[in-house]
Amino acid sequence: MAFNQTKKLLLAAATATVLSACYPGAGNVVPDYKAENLIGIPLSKNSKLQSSTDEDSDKVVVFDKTIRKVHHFDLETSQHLGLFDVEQPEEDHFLIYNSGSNYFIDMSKRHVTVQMLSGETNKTTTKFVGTPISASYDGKQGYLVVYDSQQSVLIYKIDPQGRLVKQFVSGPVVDTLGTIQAGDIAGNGKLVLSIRGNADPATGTVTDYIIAVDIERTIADTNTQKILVFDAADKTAMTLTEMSWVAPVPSSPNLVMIRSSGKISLMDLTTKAISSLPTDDWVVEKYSKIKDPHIIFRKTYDFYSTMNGNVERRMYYVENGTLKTKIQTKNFNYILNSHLDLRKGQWNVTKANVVKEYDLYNAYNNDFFQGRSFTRIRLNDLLSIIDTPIDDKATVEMAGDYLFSLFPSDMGKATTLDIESNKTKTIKNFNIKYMK
Amino acid sequence: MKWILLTFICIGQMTLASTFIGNGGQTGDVELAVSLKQVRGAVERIEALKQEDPHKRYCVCPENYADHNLCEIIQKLTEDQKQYCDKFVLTQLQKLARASQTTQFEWVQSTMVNQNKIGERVVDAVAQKDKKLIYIDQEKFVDLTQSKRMFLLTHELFHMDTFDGKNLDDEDPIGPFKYQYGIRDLLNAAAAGITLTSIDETVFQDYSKYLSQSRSTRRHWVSLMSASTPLQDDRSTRFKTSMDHGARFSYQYQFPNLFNFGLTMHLQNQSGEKSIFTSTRIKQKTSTKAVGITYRYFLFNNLDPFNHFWNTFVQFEILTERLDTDFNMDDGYTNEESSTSSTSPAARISVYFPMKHDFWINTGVSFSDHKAYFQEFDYNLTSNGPTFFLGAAYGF
Repeated sequence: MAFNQTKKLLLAAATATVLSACYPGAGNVVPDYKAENLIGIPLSKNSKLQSSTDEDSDKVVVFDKTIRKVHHFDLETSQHLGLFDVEQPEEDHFLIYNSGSNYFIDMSKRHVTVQMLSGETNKTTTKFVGTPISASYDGKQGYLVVYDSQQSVLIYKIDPQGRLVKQFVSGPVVDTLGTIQAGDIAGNGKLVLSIRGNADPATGTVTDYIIAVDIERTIADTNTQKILVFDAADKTAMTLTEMSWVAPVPSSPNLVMIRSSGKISLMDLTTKAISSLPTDDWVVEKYSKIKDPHIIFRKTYDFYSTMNGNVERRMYYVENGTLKTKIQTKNFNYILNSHLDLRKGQWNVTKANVVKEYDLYNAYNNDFFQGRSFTRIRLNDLLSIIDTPIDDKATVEMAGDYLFSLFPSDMGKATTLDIESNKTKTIKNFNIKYMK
Repeated sequence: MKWILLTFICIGQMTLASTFIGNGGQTGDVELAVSLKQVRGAVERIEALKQEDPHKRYCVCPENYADHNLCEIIQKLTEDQKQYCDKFVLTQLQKLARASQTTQFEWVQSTMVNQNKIGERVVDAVAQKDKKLIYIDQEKFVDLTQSKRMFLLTHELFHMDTFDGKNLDDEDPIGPFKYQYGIRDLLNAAAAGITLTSIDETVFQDYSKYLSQSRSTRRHWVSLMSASTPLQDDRSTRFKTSMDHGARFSYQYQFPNLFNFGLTMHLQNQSGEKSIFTSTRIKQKTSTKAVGITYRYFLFNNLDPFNHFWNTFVQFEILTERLDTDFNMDDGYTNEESSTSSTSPAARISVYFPMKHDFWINTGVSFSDHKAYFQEFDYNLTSNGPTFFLGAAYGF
């Protein structure tokens, strides 16, 4: 199986090389097999602790796959704060929570629920066909954009009391321009979407777009046509193509980072200025929007060199309004989660050192449960300053200065590792009173 | 008999005597009832033998039992004495049968001394013809072998009637037994002859089986029973654990002459395990200790003691019960344990069915009022209903 996957990847790479030779000007580009093509951040089978733009969280909510309920923990005091039942406990659940909020958002197949931490539940009546696969959340504005497996775009507005006060549903096609490929809520409060353009009927030319949707006008009652509303000035025809990843830059509300065919670009939504760096024929290993967006490319798909640690990696990120890169030539094997904190000058990585699957591109902490470790790297010189193993079988999330592990324990066991002090606290038996 | 002065000597205890009433309520009752049956059986058999062979001899050692210890009595006799003994046996048969029906028996729990013309001697039994009463040393009688019991009883029953118009007093000479204590030797020889004949004719063995019946008169009792589950989960939560493993042991001292009262002590260990959710193992252990008093009520007082259930009884127990219990939960990642104790009055009602060789089957129901709270689990257990038990007991 794994051998077939490798063969498939090599064959695909070879095919791409042949195809590029047949079409002059197309460039020597390896297909982006793990292109996200999502709005917001992907919802893995495990929880997300916070939205990409929020401050570090000292409290988390996490869906416990063992007892099929949601826990609320305080990482600083190592306390279990509460346990919440969910709709459709048998389904996967995806959570969004801002540490300062008095609610969290629980997404599962065909359902979005806002759960008050006080215990009260506000359920949405929205029925959609697919399963949520990604979401973007702006805790300050109360905007939640959910993208489902059927490419439906669902926009909610949640008031500070956790009520779903507005909701909007749209298909992926935008006007006559084309179809949504990727997007996110930018710092300016608009939903920035990359559009894979339709071919011009006369010339056959394909033009892709970036649009910035006015969320407030889109969800307003006056939007009787039920379409995504944006100003003409917020529609930009792009020279970039196949924009599969769009990430707002937290420090600059008008900047978005874009992954397109053969390039990483930085676009100013106001001036429309675009700066780009080539990605050659490297392949994407990791997309991450936490906390500062960054993409990690790997020079080769070659499994054996990866297994031996002989991997050249290049991280693209935005600092002070400029695209930058950092290069590693030899280090860990497979990246799982990657958090970049430019303010603290830290790059936090969870990684898998034991390889049992070849296909760990753009994987996450809890896609793999063996031989994992956490590494904190000082960004300016890539010095690894902390390296600590992660418990096998534990569902792991990074949250601020804590590494949180939830074990598949019926009775309840979790640990919080204070990364700086390397002290671990155990929270246990928090499920007992609910087990009767 | 008028020369016999019966004395009960007190040896460190009060002199006690009690009447055999045949219901098995006292030590030795079954042995005495069996011996009486054996005497009557022997009389019937010898009557039959007399018809079959008028010349058959009874004061002889049967060929197959030549080394039986009763033979020593016969072997000392002269031929004249043996013939006189045979005549005596055949003559007295019906009187013996009648005496076995009409004589009263009284158990004596102290040493008996027979004081006569030539001094005192310790005896196992004493017959008083005028009162139609035989005193028997209870402890000694029980300790005798079956054949010795029959021999002793036959000897004493001969005293209850006359021979050739004369009372049969041990000290007197008679016939070829021309010396003091001649009658005693004659009665011994006749009793030995009848006993050996009944053994040889297997009449004796017909009643032996009744001796293997379990006796309620034992003083010490041990019992092993199924554990009585004192704690129950009223709400039937997922924590509810079936206490499948465990047993209850009890020791009981039964006072021999105190209106069927006794003292008892119980020890019980019980445990249960179960799995819940994906990997959680629950283990519950309970240890119970109890002391109390017992009272027995015999259900079938009027039954023939040879009926298998004649000494079936119901036992009532009032106990003070102390219960220590642990509740443990482990899922491979973490564990929690909680312990608690409870003291409560408890009651047990059980029926004891006799088996063989002093083994009993007992079954019944117990009640208690325990309350246990496992704080770490916020879990309550109470004893809110009867629990049933089944066990086996042994008396010794």
